[in-house]
Amino acid sequence: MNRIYIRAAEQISLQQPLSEAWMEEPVRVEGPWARATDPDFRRWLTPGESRRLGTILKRALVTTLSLLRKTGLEHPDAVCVGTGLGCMVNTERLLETLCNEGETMFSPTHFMQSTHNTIASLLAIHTKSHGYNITYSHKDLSFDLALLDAWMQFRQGRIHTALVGGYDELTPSYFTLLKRIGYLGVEGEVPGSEAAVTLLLTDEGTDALCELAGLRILYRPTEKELQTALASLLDEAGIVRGDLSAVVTGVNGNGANDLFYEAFTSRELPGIPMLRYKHLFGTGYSAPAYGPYVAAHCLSRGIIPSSLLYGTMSPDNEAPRALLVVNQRDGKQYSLQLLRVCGN
Amino acid sequence: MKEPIWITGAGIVSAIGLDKAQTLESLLARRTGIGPMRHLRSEHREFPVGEVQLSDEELAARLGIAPGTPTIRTALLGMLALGEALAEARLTVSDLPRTAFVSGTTVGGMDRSECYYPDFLTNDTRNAYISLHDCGASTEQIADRFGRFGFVATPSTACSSALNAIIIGANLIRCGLFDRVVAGGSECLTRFHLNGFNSLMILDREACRPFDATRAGLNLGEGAAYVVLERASTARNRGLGCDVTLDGWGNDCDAFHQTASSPDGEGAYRAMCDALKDAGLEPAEVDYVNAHGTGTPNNDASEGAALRRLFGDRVPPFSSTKSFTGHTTSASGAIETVICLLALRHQFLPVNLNWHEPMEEGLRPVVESRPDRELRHVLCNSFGFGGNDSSLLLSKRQEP
Repeated sequence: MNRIYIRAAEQISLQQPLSEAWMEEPVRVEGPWARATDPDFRRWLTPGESRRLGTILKRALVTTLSLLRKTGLEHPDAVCVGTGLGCMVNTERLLETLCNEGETMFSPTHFMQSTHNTIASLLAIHTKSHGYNITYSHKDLSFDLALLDAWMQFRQGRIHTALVGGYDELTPSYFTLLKRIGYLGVEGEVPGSEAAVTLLLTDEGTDALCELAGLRILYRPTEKELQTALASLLDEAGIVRGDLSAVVTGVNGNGANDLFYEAFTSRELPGIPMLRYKHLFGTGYSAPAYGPYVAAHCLSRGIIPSSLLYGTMSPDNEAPRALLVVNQRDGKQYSLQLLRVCGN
Repeated sequence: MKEPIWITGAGIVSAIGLDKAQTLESLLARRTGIGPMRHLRSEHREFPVGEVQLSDEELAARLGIAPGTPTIRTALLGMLALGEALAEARLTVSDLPRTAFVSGTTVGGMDRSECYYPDFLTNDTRNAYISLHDCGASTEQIADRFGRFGFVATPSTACSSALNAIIIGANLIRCGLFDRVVAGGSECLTRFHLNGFNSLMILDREACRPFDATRAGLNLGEGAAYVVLERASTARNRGLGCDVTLDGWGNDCDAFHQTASSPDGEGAYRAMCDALKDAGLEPAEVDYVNAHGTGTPNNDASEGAALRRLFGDRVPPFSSTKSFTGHTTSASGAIETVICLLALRHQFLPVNLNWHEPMEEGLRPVVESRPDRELRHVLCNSFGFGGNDSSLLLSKRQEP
């Protein structure tokens, strides 16, 4: 089977947009609610697009256009998107209309831009990509499932390039709702709106950021099943635990959430340093999309910025060789991704 | 050599029945489920719908769910269909950790959100339904009723969600990640969707007439369906037989418009071609096509063009069973897959109701259910907004 590489990865978040400036100068954001920092969309979009498209669609389109410009690729073979809530701004507008004005004032434009797959569809229309096109909407696993799907397409030799993105937009009112049920906004968390996209390919001749050496997704696993999944993931890639430079975790300041990652690491990967990224990029349904984004840039540049360190253990000063990205939510959904430097 | 994928179980709930037996009976008796609204509380009573006959309370009672338990209709419908599929495949709770569950939806818990949204914003009385709003939550509510599946995922590609769920399930098996996957989808009627489709002016006030010259739009429906996909060797080891196999699939993008289909049916054409190629079959070997056939002028013209491109002047028997069930949106791909399974199993052609006059380019859907040759291979089409076009190739199992 051909190896799969992350050729490029781009983001809009609480950090400087379309940039890896966070590696040297991270923006520190305080809760309880923060807006993402958008680039100047007019540089990328026509006036019509700027007017017509909602913010989440603009972010998705611009992160993708930036990625394609950097890599020179025009038509990806597959477009795979994850989004926990889809185009929430338009969905909320329609819900408000329905509740306040009854059933006479529904806007077709808002409806068209409210379905979850609007994003992947827009990306396909824009890049004229007639190939595989999929959207997952499954809580905090949405992006991870899109990545797994791309991996399955590569594995069967159906595609050679894939765009895999994670997108969600958090509105002030939806933040209130999610805080009400304890899903977001717990003391210590920084909720955000997410847009992160990676371009994957099988071509070994390019200067990729890193290799995606494997991944696993599990639902309500026992401790033993999680252990077995990790062992087989590492085995298949031919690496041992000691080869891991660090574990990239979803630690986000919420004690109950963080406890899982601490327990997992001390149990399965004792002695391996922990990293975090959600304090910089925010917490939300698509925040896990920043996990491989962060890991890929660390592996490519051969450095782990000190802003990512978590806990008492620091990685040694050598360039990182392999990183394990771990994502979980509420003890139900689990995802493991193994990334390593190219040329193995 | 690709190992065959068997369909070892199926469950279905729609306006024409609460299980496979009722669905089959309605199809053969040409009895539509489309009629006036009974359960959906919409002002737009001028639109006929394909409602599942049971109310939320009746569904919950049938499932043995205690009154007052927070549930959403999409999950209730899904539970009913999933229970039937698991029972036919003889799967029990101990089999689930080694089984994946992939369920498509778009509406999720919107039926409750559209009622309780003002409460969501101002007080804590409806918090359980905030937790049930998103697509993933409805899938997990369906899955968790039966035990602990080892993998759970929710694709959401609008009206092709459930068909794509089946494709994902098949890929999980082909890639060796699971030997067995239960895949399909569930979607209930909501005012949100009814008003959305109405705002696009694609709802018909009469019974829908797919592929008819006078077609004027779709009727919304609801329901759920799942198939149990299983690696042949795994199913054999469990002592199961099989009469229908999933042999090929295609997922392609029309990449034309956010809601409209291209005039030449590019995405639909590619999806059908890919499904045939995947199965190693020629167009002439297709014995029946269950069309997406929503009844909108745009879809049926586009799909008709794709059928002409692929089959030329030898278009096999085709029909849209949405004339029975209504357009069950995100569940439609699975509902129609199970209808194809019934057609292969019982050797009949599901007819296209309400058809009288051919469209401009002359295609004539099936109106007579007796096939003039053995049904061996059928295509099942499912297309969604955004040009998410997918197609499956199902076959009657030939080997002994």
